[in-house]
Amino acid sequence: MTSIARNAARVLRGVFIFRLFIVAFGVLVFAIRWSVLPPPEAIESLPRVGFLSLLVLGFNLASVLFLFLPGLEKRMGRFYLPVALVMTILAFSLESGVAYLYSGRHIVVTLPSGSNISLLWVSSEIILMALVPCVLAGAAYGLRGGLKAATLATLLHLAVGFVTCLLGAPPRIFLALLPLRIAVLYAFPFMTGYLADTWRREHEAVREANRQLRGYAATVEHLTTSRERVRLARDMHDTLAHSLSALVVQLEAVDTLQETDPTAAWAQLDKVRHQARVGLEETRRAILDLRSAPVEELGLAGALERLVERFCRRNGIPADWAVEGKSVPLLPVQANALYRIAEEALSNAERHAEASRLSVRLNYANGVTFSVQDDGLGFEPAAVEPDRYGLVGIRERAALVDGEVTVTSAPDEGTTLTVRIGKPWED
Amino acid sequence: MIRLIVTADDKLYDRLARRAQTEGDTVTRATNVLAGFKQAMIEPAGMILVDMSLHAADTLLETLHSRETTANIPLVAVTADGQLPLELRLLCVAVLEVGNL
Repeated sequence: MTSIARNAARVLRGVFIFRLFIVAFGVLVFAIRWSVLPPPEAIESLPRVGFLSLLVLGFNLASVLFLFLPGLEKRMGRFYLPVALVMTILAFSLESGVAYLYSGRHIVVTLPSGSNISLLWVSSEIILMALVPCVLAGAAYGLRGGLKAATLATLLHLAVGFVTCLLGAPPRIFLALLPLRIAVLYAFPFMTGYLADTWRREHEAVREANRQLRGYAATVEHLTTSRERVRLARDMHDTLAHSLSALVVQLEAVDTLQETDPTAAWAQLDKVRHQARVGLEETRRAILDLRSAPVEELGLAGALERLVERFCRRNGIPADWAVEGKSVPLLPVQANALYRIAEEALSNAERHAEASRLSVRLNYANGVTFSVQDDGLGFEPAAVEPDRYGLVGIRERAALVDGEVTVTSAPDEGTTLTVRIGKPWED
Repeated sequence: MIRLIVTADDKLYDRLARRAQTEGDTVTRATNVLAGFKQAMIEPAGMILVDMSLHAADTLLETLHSRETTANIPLVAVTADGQLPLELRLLCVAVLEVGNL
């Protein structure tokens, strides 16, 4: 229902534009007629039309006014568009009827200035203009709406033709190409209606898919939260609970030993102290691991410093860490990218370099430059596959944030990886 | 609507593309994050699906979200095991596990 309303709103604009076109077209025809109108002395000899055509002209103007009156659409709500379409179809049917009756005649109006103007009925085939509201009905209400409008236009056309024949119009004008006119009146609204129905069905399918997507997202969110809880529980079990259990057992041993062997009890207390420190350290590390956004918490320099510290602790390889220059603010996306490149570079050094020392720098001169230098095995950059050591990933990550990667290395001379972001993005 | 699928995995692409086509969308493909980013900047899509097993897929999500041209495009992360960090999940309208597709 909502999509029909949305369609109807679009079609309303179509009707409006269509009427504007008709008015502009009428003005053009009027201008052409004006320019070719006979001189005033010859005007009296022109054939005239009757009062009926002026009534039809009045109805036509009323149907145009209906579309232009401000606020009418809001007051009539969902009835506005069907009424507008029916009025437009009716107006064209009546116009075609007048054309059958007074084919080739003029409405001549004398202006106060004394000039004469002629309104010419363009053609009896003006009924085909009723196609436009029929097509718009198809677009707004689908196949059934289009066919209903086409049926209305056809019935009105037949009725008008019948009446005009009764009033004395020659039937041949009306009957000429009648089947073709009816076929055209049905064919286009049928096509538009069919397409609109197809579009509506597809739109509904996309909405349904989006609903499913939201459902998936909620389910995955729930699952991930559950997993996070399980991971947290496991970490607490493996670190804190394990350490506390060990402490309890060892303290019970101290309790037993202090009566019989005080020296052994003191030694046991030392073990307890050591165990408590290890437990504390493990708990801290577990808490550290739970943090998901180190850059956000510590800033780029702080996060990189902690990364280097942990690298040294894990591998026993000493590393120099330095920040050079005055800090430049980076958008989170660039800072996060640099942090992840640093993780990958340190992981590469850990797995492949066999280094005895590392130097890690963050330099804020001319943008932001991050570098990792090791004194390890090194390699021949031209000789290794491009994707070796995850370098493709590092280059792609850097390129996404307008960074450039340089790798300098030679066998037995260590490796230096440098990432430079020349222009930090502005917020 | 254009649906941009960023993945190097042909089987995964086929499944995602078939589904998109069933829903009446046009599908375009990029096989790495850089190509995906360039394509998204040249021809903004209605939705971007990113295979998180690609190199730097997380940075692609963040970059798409941070650039004005692509900031409002819905992002869907496709993961094999659902272990997407919280900050990346927040950038995505949905996280689909390959097994559920």
